[in-house]
Amino acid sequence: MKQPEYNEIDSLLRSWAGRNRSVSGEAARNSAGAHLDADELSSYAEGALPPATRARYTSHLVDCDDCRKVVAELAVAAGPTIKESLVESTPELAGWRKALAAFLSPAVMRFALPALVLVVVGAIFFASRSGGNRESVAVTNQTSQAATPAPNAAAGSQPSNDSSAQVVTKAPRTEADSTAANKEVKAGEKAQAQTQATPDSSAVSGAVASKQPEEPKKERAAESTEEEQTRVAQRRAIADAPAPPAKPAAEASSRGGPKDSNEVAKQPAGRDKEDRKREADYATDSVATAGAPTSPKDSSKNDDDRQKTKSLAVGRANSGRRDETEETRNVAGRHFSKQDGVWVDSAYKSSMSALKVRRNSDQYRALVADEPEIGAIANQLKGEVLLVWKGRAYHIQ
Amino acid sequence: MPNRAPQIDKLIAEAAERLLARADESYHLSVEDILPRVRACVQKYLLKDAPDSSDHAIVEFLDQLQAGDLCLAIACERGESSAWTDLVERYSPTVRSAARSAAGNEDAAEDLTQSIWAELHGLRLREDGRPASKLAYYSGRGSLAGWLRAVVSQLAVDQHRKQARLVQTEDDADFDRIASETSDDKAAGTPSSSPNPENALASKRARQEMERALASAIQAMDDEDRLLVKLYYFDNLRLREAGAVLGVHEATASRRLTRVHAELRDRVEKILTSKHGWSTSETKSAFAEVALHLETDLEPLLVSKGVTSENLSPD
Repeated sequence: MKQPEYNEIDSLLRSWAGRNRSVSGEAARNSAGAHLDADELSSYAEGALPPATRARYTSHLVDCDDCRKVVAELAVAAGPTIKESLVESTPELAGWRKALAAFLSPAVMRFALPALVLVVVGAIFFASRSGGNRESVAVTNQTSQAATPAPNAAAGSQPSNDSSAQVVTKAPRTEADSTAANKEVKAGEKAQAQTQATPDSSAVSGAVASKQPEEPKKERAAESTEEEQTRVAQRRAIADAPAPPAKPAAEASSRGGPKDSNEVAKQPAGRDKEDRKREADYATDSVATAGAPTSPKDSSKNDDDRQKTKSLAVGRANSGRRDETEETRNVAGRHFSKQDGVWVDSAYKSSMSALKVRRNSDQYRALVADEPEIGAIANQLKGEVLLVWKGRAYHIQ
Repeated sequence: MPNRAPQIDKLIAEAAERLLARADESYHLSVEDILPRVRACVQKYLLKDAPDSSDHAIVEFLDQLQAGDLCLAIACERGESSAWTDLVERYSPTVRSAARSAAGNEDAAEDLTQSIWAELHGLRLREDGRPASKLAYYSGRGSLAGWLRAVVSQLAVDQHRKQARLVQTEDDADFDRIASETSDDKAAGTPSSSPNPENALASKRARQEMERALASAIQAMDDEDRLLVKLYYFDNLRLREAGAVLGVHEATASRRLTRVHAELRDRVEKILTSKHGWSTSETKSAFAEVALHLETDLEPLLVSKGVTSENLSPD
């Protein structure tokens, strides 16, 4: 969920905290000075103190485990008494960084990659089966539309005899984005992506597009809008990835690219990197109306993938909208949601590695003996539970 | 500021009048009844740390007091029976639920509830013959419900300290020592580190240096950030909960943690390169090593708890 270097510092902090937890408690009792009284604790927890006083208590709370524990309980019980006077000045920066990190999370990548491969294979299959030109144009056109951030450009609303212009104006952006993504990490691959946009195929594409109405495509487009949204998200994730997966994405879009791809490719070079990523985020949210051809073969598989992607992409910018159908429960003050038949703790992050523990195994009994509350939670939830306990993730089966 | 005291007194007296007027129910209290409490509250929470507060700040502070709750508490302390009826009626559920979550079981919760009400009534008599109620310590700054929960928590913590503190901490220390020893052994034995014992020793020492650098980097941060680190890493709170303590939204807490990560990483690197003479690449690989070892820390945790490694299901 975070950038690698922060994961590392996160790991260091976790292990350091694990080693020093009991020690710091003892030391604090001797050094932290007078404990806070009940009135001070509750005033602090409710955010009802003037800044100077609050600061004095904060320095005690940092060192005193007991007082901190009480304040934490009270603050949680008091609910949101948010006073955002202390808000940081860089919310936007951190915001897109987080959203980007969500896209690049292993959980998303794991499913996005096969999905992309399927899409590419499907496209090739289509192209070869129906004699090439016509279908390949369809695919090109789809890709361009899908990836275009402008919501009103969607669902094939343009008259089809304009579609030659459309290919030329939209496709470059796909090309541009993938190229830029590549450039960010592997400059060498940019050239490769461009050269792969073979002049013949795109020339033909353009020519055919201007003659050929695309009726069947549009019908399908209407059917599968949400699916395409997910797929675009996945494709985007790939295109933005700082890893080899970016390569097929670039190839996929440039294969059908317009003949003047070189000229167009210059456009993103001047564009701010940050801009591009924000746009990518936006595109993911707003492309819902774009259309796509769907081969029956990969539609079911894709459905499955989408399900998993949806549940595992914790913290994604748009996850809130999709969580409506999820089953959730609160047990022992923790929040669980049912994802693919597993009760997942809201504290669980996809970056955690969970230890598998089978119910009724010796290991499970030993765990429950030491941490009875885990047992209580597991008993209440039944079935598989993915639980975070004291910073560790346990997958109880 | 010797000439300021009368002015402050005047502000407090005026605010006390407004406070009585604001309260839903004043229980026949007079301004004189509440004046000492209001004055004490201003001294404790505002003037002690910010003696130069402006008149405006003082008035603002005074007008934020919980008028109804403060009047109720003062009236109860003074033995007003209608106030007691209200207190019991409104806050019994609060006290009971706080006691339940603080105590381990139903019996202990019941004991705790009884103790709290006894303290609220006052077990001993003061010099003037009235019982010394704990309610005398409620300032009106936070809500009465929050104060009651805090009283319950503190009493529970006190009892816990008296009964189990010694045993508990010894256990914890033992457990942590075993866990960290085991994890060190484990770290030394993982394929990722060299089989050469000399290298293993060096790697262990490197890790210790890193943790020392981390500790001093944390020490150099301001209190709010250190509090966040403690809440998140030591207390294992979720960001939403840590945010509640800090008085910020979950998203803000998350952004702050990200910033803390970046700052800590920078500082640790600086300390390692400047004080310990590490090279940049050494620092980088040491960080990577730490991230790698964390995943193996899980297993020793269970092993040291009496679970043998054969029982670990294949992953």
